[in-house]
Amino acid sequence: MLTRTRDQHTATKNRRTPLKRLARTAGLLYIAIFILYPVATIVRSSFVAPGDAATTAANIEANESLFRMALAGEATVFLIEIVLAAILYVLLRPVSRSLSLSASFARVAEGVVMAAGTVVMGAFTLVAVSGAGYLAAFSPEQRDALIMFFQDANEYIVLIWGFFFALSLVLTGWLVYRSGFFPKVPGVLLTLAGVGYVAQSFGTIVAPGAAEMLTTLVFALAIPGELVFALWLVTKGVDEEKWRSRAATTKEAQL
Amino acid sequence: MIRKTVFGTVMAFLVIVALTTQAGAYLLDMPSPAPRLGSTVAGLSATGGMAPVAEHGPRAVGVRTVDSDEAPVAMTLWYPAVEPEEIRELAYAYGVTIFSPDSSVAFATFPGHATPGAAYDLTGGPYPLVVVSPGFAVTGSSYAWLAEQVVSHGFVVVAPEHRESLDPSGLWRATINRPVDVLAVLDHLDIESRLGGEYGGLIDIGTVAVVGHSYGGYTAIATAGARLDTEVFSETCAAAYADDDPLTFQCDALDGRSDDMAALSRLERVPTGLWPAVADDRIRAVVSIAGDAAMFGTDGLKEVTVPVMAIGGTADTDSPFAWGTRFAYEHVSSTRKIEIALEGAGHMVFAGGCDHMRRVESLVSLGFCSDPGWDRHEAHDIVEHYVTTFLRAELRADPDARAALAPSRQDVPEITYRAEGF
Repeated sequence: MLTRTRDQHTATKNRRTPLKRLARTAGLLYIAIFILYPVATIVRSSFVAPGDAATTAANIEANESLFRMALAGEATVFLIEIVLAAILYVLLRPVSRSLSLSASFARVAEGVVMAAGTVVMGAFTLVAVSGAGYLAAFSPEQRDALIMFFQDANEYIVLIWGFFFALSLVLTGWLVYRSGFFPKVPGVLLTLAGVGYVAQSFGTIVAPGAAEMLTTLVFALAIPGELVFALWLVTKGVDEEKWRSRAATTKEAQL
Repeated sequence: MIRKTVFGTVMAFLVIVALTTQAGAYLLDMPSPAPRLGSTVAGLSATGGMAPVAEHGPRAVGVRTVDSDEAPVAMTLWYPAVEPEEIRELAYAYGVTIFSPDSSVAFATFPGHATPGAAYDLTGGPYPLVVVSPGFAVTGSSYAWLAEQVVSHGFVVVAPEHRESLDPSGLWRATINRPVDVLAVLDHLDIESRLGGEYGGLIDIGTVAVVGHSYGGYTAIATAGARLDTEVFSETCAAAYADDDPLTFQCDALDGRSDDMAALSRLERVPTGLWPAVADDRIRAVVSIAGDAAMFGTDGLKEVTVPVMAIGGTADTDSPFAWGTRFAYEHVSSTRKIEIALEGAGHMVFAGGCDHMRRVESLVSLGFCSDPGWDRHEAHDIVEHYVTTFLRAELRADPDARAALAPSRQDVPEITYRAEGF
């Protein structure tokens, strides 16, 4: 009897492990993004003097290796985003398969636009500073302006991936809130973070004068939501019994 | 238990790093200037409460950068330009080379209206040359506000990038290298100003002034003939330490480095008395703005005979007014000299414009964009006015400008004005 109970316990423990591991992996990936992205941004932003093409070009030229490392950091971020999207899809699928899929698609789209923006603009910048012979067709001032153009364009592309990221956060927040196997608070905070990104992306495009206020709003809203959810994933993971129960219900309903 | 403690510690560490990096990215970000591209610039930027005293000149301004592979020293050149169809606003970085001489960190940006790469306007040339020597580890473009104003009155301005990073222990090296940089720039421009050269017909290399801020002020005075006196400087420092004088900052960086400085100057030994001059007789006038002068001693300053304008803030503790502006004014041998004291102003108010700052600078003063006593636009406006008038008087022999510098003509209440020979 005792042996059977112990076997059952071991079996249950083994069954639980992948789900918990999955949640913990998601949390760690989230925290990795949380650290990598701002570090890469700090490095790149230290080179850019908004509006001053000559200084920006000179700084990037003088620190090309560091600029490349920042690009590599950003590239790592969008690769992580894609893996994270898949894991979050699995974790939140029991709540609603269609919405979880939408949230994941939005996150993947965010990663792709981020790649197309940050890294492609970075690659164009590196071509412009490369000193290739055909660039002699541009005067030094034109070449500097081209470099500034790529960096400025990236500022707008951030707003574009912000749309997709916002959608992903709002849907993830709603799924977390409704899940029953996550607490409701991270769900509310994630939704608020998503609202912040929507406001920033739409607001900055429609009313550029409000950009500074909206950036501060995102800073204030995004950090609590994402960090709390990430920490919850790492430390507590999911309530496995409720997750399985919800998964069974959803499977029956084919949601 | 141990596993839980390690896990908790790692998580706490990750959270702190995450929050720090997020906050760092937010604080170090510099909000882009509001997009005003395409707007036509109309006159000077607005000042604070005081009516502007500087009048923008009639000439359009062009700007170009010269890399270190094109000249012995990298530099920014502002020049009278052919009037463009439309003057568009551009941004200049107020930058400091913090980590490496090769790249700067912009603390702020400010608007200008020069046209990058515009064609030279040779109709009024060749124009007198004004070398602007930046403060220690500050970039040349940080002084674009002054350069554009001076050029609009018919001068060419060049700002060399002295290869420095923001480390006071490198000040002794700058003491030797900076005057040499300026002379190298003059020699390069001399060659390029000849017929067929890059600046042929643009620059009158025989009529030069050097203007400098902070250690650039030291540079200006040195290139005008002032000679170092390290023995006297050591005595001055001994007294400064005893009195806890703010000059001790310079003493910490320079006093005791005479051997290194002599070696860098390729002197066999540290000179007794005055050091050899690193001057150039093409330099006809100098302006020292919050400039350092204590290292010359009184005898070293006596070697200066060209007209001098010394401007400073009376609350300056980086280059103390008594040991910089006033010391230079009182001891140069120049028959024409001017001292302008901005009452209560500090040191960095004369550096770059701070119209758009990194968020961190707005929240926590790092000292680059704040001055407790003065509005930066007002200080720049006064400097623009007096420097331009002085350059017109001395390099163009403009009688109206010379008359405008008479003490009896001064009516700016925020300054104390002294002059001889005007």
